[in-house]
Amino acid sequence: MSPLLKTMKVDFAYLGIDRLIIHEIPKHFRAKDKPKSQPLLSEIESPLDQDLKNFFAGKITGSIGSGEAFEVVFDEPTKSPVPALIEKLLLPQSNDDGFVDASKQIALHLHECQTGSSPGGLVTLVDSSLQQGKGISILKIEKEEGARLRQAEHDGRKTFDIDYLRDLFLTKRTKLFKVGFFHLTGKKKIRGLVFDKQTGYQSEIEVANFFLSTFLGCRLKQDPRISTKAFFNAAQDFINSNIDDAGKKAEAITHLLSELSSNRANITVNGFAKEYLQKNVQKAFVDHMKAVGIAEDTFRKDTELIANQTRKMAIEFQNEISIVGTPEAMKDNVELKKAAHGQDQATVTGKLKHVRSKK
Amino acid sequence: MTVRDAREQWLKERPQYERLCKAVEKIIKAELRLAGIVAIEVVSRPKDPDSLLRKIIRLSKTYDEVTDKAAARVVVQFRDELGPVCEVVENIFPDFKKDDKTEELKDYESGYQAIHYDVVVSEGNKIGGDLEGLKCEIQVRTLCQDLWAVMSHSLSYKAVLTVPPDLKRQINLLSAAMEIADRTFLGIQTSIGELVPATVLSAVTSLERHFYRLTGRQFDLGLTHESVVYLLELYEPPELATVGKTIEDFVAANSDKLSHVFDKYSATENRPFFLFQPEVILVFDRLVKDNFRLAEHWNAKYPPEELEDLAIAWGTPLP
Repeated sequence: MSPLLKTMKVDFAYLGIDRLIIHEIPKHFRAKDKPKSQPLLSEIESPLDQDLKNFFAGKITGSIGSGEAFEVVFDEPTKSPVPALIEKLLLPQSNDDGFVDASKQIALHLHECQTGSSPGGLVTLVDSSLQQGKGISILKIEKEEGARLRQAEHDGRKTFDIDYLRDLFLTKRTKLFKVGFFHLTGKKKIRGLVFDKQTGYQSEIEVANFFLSTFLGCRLKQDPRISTKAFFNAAQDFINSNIDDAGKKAEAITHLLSELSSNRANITVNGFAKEYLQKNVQKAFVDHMKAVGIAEDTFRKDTELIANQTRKMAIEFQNEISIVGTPEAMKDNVELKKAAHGQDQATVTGKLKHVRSKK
Repeated sequence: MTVRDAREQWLKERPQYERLCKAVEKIIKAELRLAGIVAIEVVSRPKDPDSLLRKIIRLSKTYDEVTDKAAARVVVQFRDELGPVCEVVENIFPDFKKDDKTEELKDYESGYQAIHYDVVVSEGNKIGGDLEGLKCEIQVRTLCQDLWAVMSHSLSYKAVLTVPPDLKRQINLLSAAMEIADRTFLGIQTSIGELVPATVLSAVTSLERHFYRLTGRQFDLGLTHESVVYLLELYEPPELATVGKTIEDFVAANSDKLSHVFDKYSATENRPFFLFQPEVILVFDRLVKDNFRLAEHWNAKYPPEELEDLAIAWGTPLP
């Protein structure tokens, strides 16, 4: 059995699209003086050839399989009809799983719970096959506009005609920003993954709550406080054990503390490795996280349990000398470098405040 | 049996031999692919009715003595590929009679060279059914041998009762020249192989064999050599020394997944270019084991979007 199957994780190379249905969701103006809008509902699935199937499989893989998706569970209680519909689709009681009807209910629910500030767009329900069993995806997609070129001739002269396209919705280079993916594990339990990258004016958490909680009726599986603490401890251990150079070690710890103090809502293991660690330890860092049981690649950040540990950092020498300060102060005022005979040297620049005894 | 009876008999039996030809061709192609052997051509045909009757009349054979009512031909590039192809044929058809035409030539002679098999379809052949017991001729030859066979047949010099000595000499010289060309092609191929570092040769050979077995497709050999040399820079020295084994182990562990990915994209035109090049196996290996370094190394030479698409095809998008 492959390692992925053992952990019930999905191998997205096997993701094959069987059918999908698209509904259009207009802006939902709530003010009484604004025109009422209704979703444009499809009656049947969209025809698909192998090119389109591979295209959508690639898009879902690019988002859900990227390592930036959260593992989620159905929230209880919830007003969203999505959990019950997903259960019916993955565990059908009869031959007719009600795919089209389920998609319409999801579309109507999305339209109903959107505010007037949410842009219109499309909601797509996708039925897919996996290596074992099937998967159901819900894609929320915004429409795009673009321009297309066509070779033409005017008055016998060659040129390009330009078409302005108002009905684009996915191009090769764009990612799916909001995807919910659900599949059955070997124990017939439903496992969910949500990818949500919003570019907008609201805070990341607020927007995420709408898609994850209000629309999909889900919540994060792992408590973000526990995930964040586990990540912090494992990352610190790794840096201290695997980076020999004192200066680079301090730099990595500084980055770790900065990341935890930043405004970013999420932490991505791969992203942290790529952005902050030297190339020769990036893979080892990712492997270390998996080895210590940090199964998720991405999780919501919550530093509540480690708040006291992230305000300051300490550089401790074997001769019992310590330098303590905030990450920012360390970065600007402490220089670490190699000294003779395998030793390390720290240079602190600043105005002396006082010298005193300490227990 | 009169000539007319023979024609009638053959016209009745020919559809069955047509099916035999298709079955033999199909199984030879499949088994060659499994063995990673790339043949230039695998073709088959039931004998043309007039051709069958000519054989009966000219060579005084009976209807049943004509053993090539169904015939298949395998053509390869180099002489050293004949042996492996013969092994495949003998494994498919344990009931065979082999006739190496080269052995019939004296050491000072040149002429038609090929390996002919008369095989019988038997129970264990995976063909079976109502074709059991039928005979088929299978010819195995190189491209040069095939050219000689085709041209000498076109020249029809065998039909002339007396060939003048000078013409005979020209024919013999041409036949010898074809054999020299055949041997020299192999010699050059071998010499080129010796110029390539052993690790690269080992990797390329292994990749090509597995790729052909999994896809049955042709590929750009020049690009493969260039890409393999470049991608092998990602392997540390201890790993590099055993890269052939690394490839074998990777393919063995991921055979089902590789087949699945290749099948998924084989029916579409919209796919990463490198997906149907043998070096993609190395790319997949590095995606699993060292994706950060792979991305940096790849982007320095090849379009980044190609690697992104390959990573998605493998189910492991890049960070």
